[in-house]
Amino acid sequence: MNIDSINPEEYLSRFLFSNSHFSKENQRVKYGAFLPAKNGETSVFRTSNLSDNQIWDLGERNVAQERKKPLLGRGDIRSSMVFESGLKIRPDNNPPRHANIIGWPEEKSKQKLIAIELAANATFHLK
Amino acid sequence: MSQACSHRITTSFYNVSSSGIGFSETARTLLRELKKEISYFAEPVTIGSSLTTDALIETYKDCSYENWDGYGAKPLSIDSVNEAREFISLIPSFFSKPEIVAEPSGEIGLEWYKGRNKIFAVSFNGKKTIAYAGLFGSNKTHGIEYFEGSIPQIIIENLRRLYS
Repeated sequence: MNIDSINPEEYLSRFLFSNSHFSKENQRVKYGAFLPAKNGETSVFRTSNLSDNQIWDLGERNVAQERKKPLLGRGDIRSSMVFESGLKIRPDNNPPRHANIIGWPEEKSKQKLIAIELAANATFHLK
Repeated sequence: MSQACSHRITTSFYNVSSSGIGFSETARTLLRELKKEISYFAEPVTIGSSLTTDALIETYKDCSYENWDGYGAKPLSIDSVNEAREFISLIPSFFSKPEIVAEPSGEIGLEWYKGRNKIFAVSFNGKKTIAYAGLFGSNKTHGIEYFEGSIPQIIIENLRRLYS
């Protein structure tokens, strides 16, 4: 894995801590999970070539424990979907494998549309 | 058409149709069809609405504090929740109930999901504006609408599009 650039085939995982960000019934991620935070970025981890257990472990150690929140699920998405939506991915490797989805438009409704598309193409995994 | 407006039309229609004098059979049939069409929009959700409102309140409880999503989200605002509640009470019964989505900006969203390529969502910021976005196959839409007392026509049109 090149830490400076993202291959479009790479998978990104978004760890989920709110019940309102996924549907158990439909086994899907909802758009709210991908909307940017106050800093205008969506935090993700690069999880290609990791086993399912290794991905959960990454989320537990680097996100859940740090935030003192129970990890409820995750949404996995190909980087190519992010690029196709006109967004960029900035890897910072802090913690290891961490990156941010950046380049979100200012317009709230446009953000929502992109988040809907990302969520629609994500694969949901329940913890 | 606003609920209040459609209600007035329905009432007026009943007065006309109950007399029935001076109308041809064709006119009466047309009026009956019109009555059916109007009743879709005059009758809000009842049972579905209360279930969605319960889910809304539950989501508010879960997300009314700082950092509820683990990524620094703002607490959901009570104003946005009240707007969503008003909107839910106005949704015509023709449409299914939406799912609730908490947004990291502190806004509350309602989402209709009819498959990976048929999704429509609206959100409320507590300042009488609705941000909406939808995916209808390869067609996409998004925008902002003013909201007070009735569901904007473009939102109704997008919901109908979802069910077409």
